This record gives sequence, C-alpha cells and structure tokens, in this order.
Amino acid sequence: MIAFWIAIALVPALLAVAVASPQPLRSVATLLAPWAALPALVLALVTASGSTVTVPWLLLGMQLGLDVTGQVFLLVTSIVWLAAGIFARGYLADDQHRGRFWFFFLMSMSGNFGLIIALDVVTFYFAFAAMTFAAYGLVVHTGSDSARRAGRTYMVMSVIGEMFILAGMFLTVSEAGSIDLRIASGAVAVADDRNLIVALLLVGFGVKVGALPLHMWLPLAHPVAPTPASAVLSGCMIKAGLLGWIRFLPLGEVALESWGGFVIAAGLLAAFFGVVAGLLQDDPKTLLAYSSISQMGLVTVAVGIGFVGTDSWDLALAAAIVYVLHHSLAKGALFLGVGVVGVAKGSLWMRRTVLTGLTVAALALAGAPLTSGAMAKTALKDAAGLADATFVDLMLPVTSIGTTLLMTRFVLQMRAQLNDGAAPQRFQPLLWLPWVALVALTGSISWLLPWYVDLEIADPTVITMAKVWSGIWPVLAGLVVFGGATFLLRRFSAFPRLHVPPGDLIVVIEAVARSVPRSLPTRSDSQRGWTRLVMRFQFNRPRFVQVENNLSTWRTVGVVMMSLILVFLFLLGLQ
Amino acid sequence: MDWGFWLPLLTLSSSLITGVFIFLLGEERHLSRSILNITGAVIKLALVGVMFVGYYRGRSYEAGWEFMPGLELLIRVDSLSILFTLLSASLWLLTTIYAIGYLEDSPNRRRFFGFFSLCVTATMGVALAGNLITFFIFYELLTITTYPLVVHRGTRESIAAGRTYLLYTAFGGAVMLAGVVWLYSIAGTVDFESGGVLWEFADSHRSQLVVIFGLLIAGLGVKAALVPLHGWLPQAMVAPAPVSALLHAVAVVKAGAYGIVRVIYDVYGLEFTSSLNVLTPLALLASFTIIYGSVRALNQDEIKRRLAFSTVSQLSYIVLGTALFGPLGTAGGLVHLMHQGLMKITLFFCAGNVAETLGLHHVHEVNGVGRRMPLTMAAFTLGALGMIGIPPMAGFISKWYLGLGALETGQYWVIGVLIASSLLNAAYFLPIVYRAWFMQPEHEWTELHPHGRLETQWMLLLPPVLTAMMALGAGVLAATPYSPLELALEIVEELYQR
Repeated sequence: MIAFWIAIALVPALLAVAVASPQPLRSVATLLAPWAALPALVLALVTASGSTVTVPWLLLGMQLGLDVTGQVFLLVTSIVWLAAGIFARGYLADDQHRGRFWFFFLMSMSGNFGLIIALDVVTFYFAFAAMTFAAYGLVVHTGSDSARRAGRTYMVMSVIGEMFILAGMFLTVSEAGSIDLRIASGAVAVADDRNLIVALLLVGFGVKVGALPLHMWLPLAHPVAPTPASAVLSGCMIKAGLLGWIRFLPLGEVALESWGGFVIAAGLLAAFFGVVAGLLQDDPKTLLAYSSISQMGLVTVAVGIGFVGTDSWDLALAAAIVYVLHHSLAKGALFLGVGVVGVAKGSLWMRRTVLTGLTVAALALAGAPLTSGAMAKTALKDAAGLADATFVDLMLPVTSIGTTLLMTRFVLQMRAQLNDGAAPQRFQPLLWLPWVALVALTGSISWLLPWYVDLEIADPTVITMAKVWSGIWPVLAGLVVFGGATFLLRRFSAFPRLHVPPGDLIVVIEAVARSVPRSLPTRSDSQRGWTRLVMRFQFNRPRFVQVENNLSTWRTVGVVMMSLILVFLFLLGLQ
Repeated sequence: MDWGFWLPLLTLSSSLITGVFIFLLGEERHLSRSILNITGAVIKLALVGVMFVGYYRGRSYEAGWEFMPGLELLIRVDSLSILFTLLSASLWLLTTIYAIGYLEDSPNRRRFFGFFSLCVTATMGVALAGNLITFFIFYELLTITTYPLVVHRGTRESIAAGRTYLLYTAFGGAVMLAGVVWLYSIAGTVDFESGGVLWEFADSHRSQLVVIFGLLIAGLGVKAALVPLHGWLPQAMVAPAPVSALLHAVAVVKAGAYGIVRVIYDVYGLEFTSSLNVLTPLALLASFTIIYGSVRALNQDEIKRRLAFSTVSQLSYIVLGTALFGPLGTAGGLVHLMHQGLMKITLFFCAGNVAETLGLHHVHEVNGVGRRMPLTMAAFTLGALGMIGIPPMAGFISKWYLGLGALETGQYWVIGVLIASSLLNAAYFLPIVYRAWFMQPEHEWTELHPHGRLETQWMLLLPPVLTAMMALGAGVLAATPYSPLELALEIVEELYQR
C-alpha cells in the first residue's frame, strides 16, 4: 500500500529521470510519459478519504494521505495532467527539445501530486518546491526573449515566495511542535505571532495563486509556455497555492475578521482587475492568464469568508474545492482549445466543433446554468450568504458579467484565428481527444460529482428556475454590454485604444530596476550574478523606449483602474 | 591485541604510512603510487567503519601516552569525532580517486600525493583528538602539510596565495597557542568531555576564561573563515581542484569549524559558555559572515572564487548552529558539518571537471555546458540546490533545524539571516545552473583530453556523482537510522542530557 502511495509522485519523477537518460531508456520513458498521471488518477478514484500512510524513514518522517479536499484536488489535478500529457505528445512531436520538456513536465507533475497527498509540512514544502522549480523549465522552454523574461520574473517571484512560505512554516512548526500538517492550522490559530504567520503565508502562497499584486509572473509565463504546459500551470499548479492556504491558515479555527475583510477585498479586486486587464489583451493566452487571476480572485474570496467566522468555513471550503474542480477543468479546456484551434483551420466541421467546445468551456467559466461554473458559483454564493457577506453576494453576478465579457472576446479572437483561411489540416487525435474529454467533463462534472464525494454544497443535480435565472442573467447582461461596447467603439473610432502590457505592474518594476544598477557604482563583473538575476530584467535600450511608450498607455489604464476602485469603494460604502 | 587501543592508531597511520611510502617511491612509479593511495584510503575507510559499528555497539576506542610531563597525547573516539572521521575517510577515498584522474600527466605528483596523505593524517588527528593539546598539535600539522598543496602549481599566483595562507594560519595558530597555554595553566589539563570541564573555575577565573574563549575562537576562526579572518580562503582556491575540494569540505576549514564546536561543547560546555555571555556575539559574527560571504560571492565571475566565498558563508551555518544554544540549533549546526562537506566537495569536483575537460573557469563561459557534460552538471545542480536549501537536498535539513533551533530560543532574527542567505545563494548559484542548461554554447568546446565514451574520464566523473547522491540521500533519508541527522541528534541527546 505504501508503495502505491509513493508511486503517485515517484512514477512521474522516475520517468523524468529516465527521459533524461541515454537510449534506449529514453525512448521507452518518452512513450510512457503521457500516462504518468494515471497512478494518481487511480488512487483518487479508488481510495476512501481519510486513509493515510506513514513512511518514517523518508525525509523527516513522511506522512501521506487524502482527506476530502485532497481527494478532489488529486482527482481534478490528475485529470488535467493526464489530458495535458496526451496533448503534449501530439503538440511537441516535432520539438527538438521535447526531452527537456518532458523532464520538467514530469518533475512538476510529481511535485504537484506530492503536495496534494502530503500530510506533513516537510513533504509538502519539498513537493511544492519541486513543482515550482521544475515549472521554470516549462516557462522558458521555447528559449525566446519573452520566454526568458517570463522565466526570470517567474523565478525571482517564486524564490521570494518560497522564502515567505519557509518563514511561515518555521513559525508554524515551532508553534505546533510537530511537522504534522493536520495540526498546522490549529497551531497557527493559537500562535502568539498569528498575524505574522498569516501574513507570511498569504504572501508566500499568494505568489503561486496569482493574488494581487503578486500576479505579475502569471500573464508573462502562461502565454510563452508551450500550450500543454500553460494548461497545467493555470489548471493545476496555481491551485497548489490555494491548497497551501487551506492547509496552513487558521481557517475555521478562529475568527479573524480584519484578515477576512482584507482577503475578500483583495480577492474581489483581483476578480475585477483580471477582467479589465484581460479585456485589453490581444494575445488569447495572455487573456486567459488574466482570466485565471480573476477566477483565483473569486477562490480567494472563499478563503476570506473562511477567515470571517468559524462556522462559515465548512461551506466556504466546499465552495473553494468545487471552484477548483470547475476552474481546473474549464481553464484546462480553454488553454488546450487554443492549441486545438491551431490545427483545426480549414475544414468546416473541425472549425464548428472547436468553436462549440470553446463556447461550452467559456460559458462554464462565466457560470452559465448546467455547467460546472454554475455549481461553483452557487456554492460560493451560499457560503457568502452564511457568512453574512452580502457585499460579496452582490458582487458575484458582477464578476460573472465581467467573465462573460472576457470570454466573449476570447471566443471571438479564436473565431478570427480559425477563419484566417489556411489549408485544411489533418485530424490530430492526440490533440483533439484530451481536449474533447476536458470539455465534456466541464459540462458534466456537476452530475458526476455527487457520485464521487459528499461535499457540503447544494445538490448540483437539482435544477430550479431560480438557479437557472441567477446563472443566466449575468451572461446575458455580459453579452449585451459586450455588444453595446463593440458598437460604440466602432461608431466612435477616435476613442483611445487602451492597452495593458502583459504582466502590467512588472513593467513598472522593470523600469525601476533598470534605473537602479545604473545609479549604483558597479564593478565590471558585477553585471553578472546578482544584478542579472534580481535587478536586471533585460535592460537594453530599444526596450526602454518601448517601456516609456507602455507607461504612457499606462496612464489611461490607471484612470480606468482608479475609477473602478472608486466604484468598488462606493459599493462598499453602501453596506 | 587490544583493538580499543590499536584501531584509532591504525586509522591514523593508514594514511601516514601511505604518505611516507609515496615519498619513498620514485616520481615515475605512477601505477604503484595509485594502488598504494587507493589501498590506504580503502583501509582507512574500513577501519573507520569498524570503529563506527563498534562505537555504536558500546565499545570504546582510546589511545594515549604522556609525551611530556603532564601533557598527554590522546586519541579517542566519541560520538562527535566518529561523525567527522567518517566524513573525512569517505571523502578522502573519493578525492584520491579524483586527484589521480585530475593530475594525470602533470609533474610533481609524488610531492602532491605525499603531502595529500599527510594532510589527511592531520585531519584525522584533529578529528580524533581527545584533548585540547592533541587537537592543537594536529591542527598546526594540518597547516604545514596543506601549504605544499596550495602552492603545488608553483605559479606566482599560487605562491602568493600560499604566503597569504601561511600568514593567516600562523597568526591564528599563535593566538590559539596562547589561549591553549593559558587554559592549561588554569585547568592543568583539558580533556574533551561532553558538557565541558571548566565549571569549577567559573567563579575564580571568569574574566580570564572569557578572554581565553576569544583567543581560541580567533585562532580557530582563521581556519573556519569567520569574517574578518577569511581573507586567505578565496585566494587559496588557486590550488588544484582536488585540494580545494578537500580543503573546503573536510580538511582545513572544517577543522576550524570542528574546533569551535569542540571548544564550545566539550571544553567550555554549552551552558557555561552561555553563562559567559559570549554566544550571542558569536552568533552575530557568524550571521554577519553568512551574509557577507554570500554578498561577495555574487560578484565573482571565476567559478572557484564564487564557491570559495560560498564556503565562507556556509561554514558559519555550523558556527551559528553551535552558538544558538538549543538542541535543535545544535543539531542543525552539527549536521551541517557533514552536509556542507558533501555538497561543497561535489561543487568543487564539478568545477574542476569543467575546468579540466573543457578549460572553462568562469561563470560566463559555461553556457550550454549541461548538454556536453550532463552528469557533471546534474551533480553540480544538486549541490547548488542543496546550498540554497531546497528540499530534499541535505542543505534543507540543516536549514530546517537551524531555523527551528532559532525559534526555540526566541531568536527570530536568525530566520531573517537564513532567508537572506538562501535568497543570496539562489542569486549566485542559479545563474550558473541556468547558463549550463538553458543557454546555447557560444563556440565549439575545446577538448583538453581524450575521454572515451563518457563525458570525461571516469575518475573525474565518479566522485562528484557519488557525493551528489550522498548529499541527496542525506536529505531524502534524513530520518533513517545512522543518517547524518540521526547521528547529530544522538550527539545532541548526549549534550543536553545533563
């Protein structure tokens, strides 16, 4: 039994090593690599929640197990990894660096599974770090300038995040007197340095979640990574940060209202910011990245609700779990869809199928009835209702309207790409099948879920008129707003064209960082090393000019953001 | 035959005899010399293994005789020395293999291997010393036997480095001698005993003991490269790679750190040291050294120089753990004694491989070297990740215990130091890793030697791969019996029992 548990993470890791080994091991491993997520999927399907194993001789005494949270996380994570793995086999068939890709893909997978089944702090941190560092290889895979810039940002932010997490863990374990993850949140709840620990963990895991303003790596990294890697980055890995919050923060242990208010506000702000910044993107994958920031903002709201009161956490946790389930599948389907669009040009039925599928996933993200999104939004609404967070209740439909806007733009972008008149392409099952599977799951998961696990959410198979209406009106409203705005923009073409540079704040930070090394007396060899990694985010002159240009468009964005915040505060004042 | 008496002596002489015979052999007798060397190293490792097993089965190993009235030369195995002996013996074997490969076709190999063996003898003596005067004698022998190794190449640069090295260590030795003599004049004899031996003089000689402590730490701090006494170390890296590897991992710098551990735990005793109020200044000095070494490492383009400054920083983890005065911190410091050795020797081996195979010495030259030398760079990457303290590498275990130890005694600022150091380590190690794996080579490699099917000679390749695996294993299997961590925890239990 122990062997099976360890195999979940060890199989991908061993395959990774095998992929990097000489022939013939390499060929065999590459053949098996797409299926590396299978053991995890099997475990997620067959294990009863609550089962644990202890491996006392590994690390500082490894404990593994699955509770309900871990079960759902493992299920959806393994599904998306499996789909992305099969997709990658087709997508990277001709890539000359595919060996390297598989190595990092499998290593991140191993870390991702490991952190879900980890029940002790050290194993959790180990797996988290393994995933974080291995994912760097996915981000920089193409080796382009933008990939390297994204990689640099990712690495710097991740390392800093790791350090926050480490400090938080030191304090937690020191308080708990044990590395058992199950007592960690209880220990934080009674710690003298509770506020410090909470702050450290919020920031540390917030980098991974993409919480505002720690989100900057996300819109840079997602678009440059190969498509299957973007799918797992957005679908699975950013959720690891959320799991960290769930595992460590004293949610449901003690009511911390000011933290709750802060986290809810940050979550809502991210939800709106993601929409606004995403709408101004031209690259569909960047748009999806901003959409992830927005959606993770909503999950952050659930965490905030958990802070507010001890009794609201059960519902909020269920909402967060369901939201993760929903978003992983839908975002995985959307990202893989971008790749499928690339091979679906020409033939009419291919175009129709891919557009239909993408629309389904987009509707799910917007929370349209009968989709996974409807189930997730209902759960979040119920949790907000219990916690008496009427403000959140009020804002949720607004975020759905925003998501509809974003998704409409995305689908239209995809349609434009499909119609650019390339020659008909061959049907590529390795790309199509995993994508179709994810789309199908996005549509059907709300019916399947009650069979799998018993969560404290309203039964998603019961359809009432009220539910349908509350799901459908924001989508309709969004479509109307989108249509109106498009009409206005066409009518008044003089309207200034807004643009947010991908990574938004990072551009400012880069500009600041660029000016710093110049003002420092630097020795000749200090251009390497630290300055390169920490401060120099690519500083050559033509780029500088471009940044200046970006900054001037930034002024317009700033005005938009400020007015949004004002509206936000105004609504807050209404309470 | 009384094995308890002879085993420690045989362990010492296994390398001493090897050294003497190497000097007697002709310069050109390469094969016999290699066989002699390896045999000596294997025998030593076997002897240490026997003592290790024996010690943990409750046997005692002790050999001593009075070489001057009142002064005893005492060789003894205790839980601390067995740890260090085991590390030295196993790394000596690997370094010997490495050195044979590294110095192939270079002149003066008789001199090199002769002094190499003597140097290890001195290190063993330092490890097994049972009292302060024995420790001091071997400590000084170590200085002398290492000098020829540092200047081995005979270039102007290495002669200068050797001069600096002697200047620092001779000064350190003199200061330490003053401390040792003064202490003997007060206490009569100073055997190493867990918990310390100076309690009875606590009231009568308090201020004198503080001064002596300062003298001893200053003397030992030279070899342990505590700032501002670290100046010789970055210069001494001009020595051939196997020397640097051994110097940075087990021999010289480790002898200094080990001495500090001995003085605090077994001469003064942890509680007594703490009552003298000298631990916090020492912890501050160690912390400063940790940060300073890392900051200096950032700006080094020469790989070995960068590694040397990294050693300055990492060694002070040991001192810091010792100065924290809490069981977990102590464990962190002690276990780092082992872990730092494994990781740093890996890094130096790899740097040596890249230099010896492709002639690359600088960070900016290693672009794309990962494809040309995958195993070497994989080992280097593991070592580097360990230095940053990323699990499951051994370095993480050290950092984990140091951090918890700091919190246990309420010294929150240490967490800041550890984290700053980790960030700095990441900032100077990751660029090398990045260049090696992700950047394209700028020009064709210049192959310095033929090497067959492997990426380089097997004798250069095997040691770093093995030490990297050991550093990985020490982390992954940290909770297994007889892992470095468990051995360190054993010592901690002994120390805090009273």
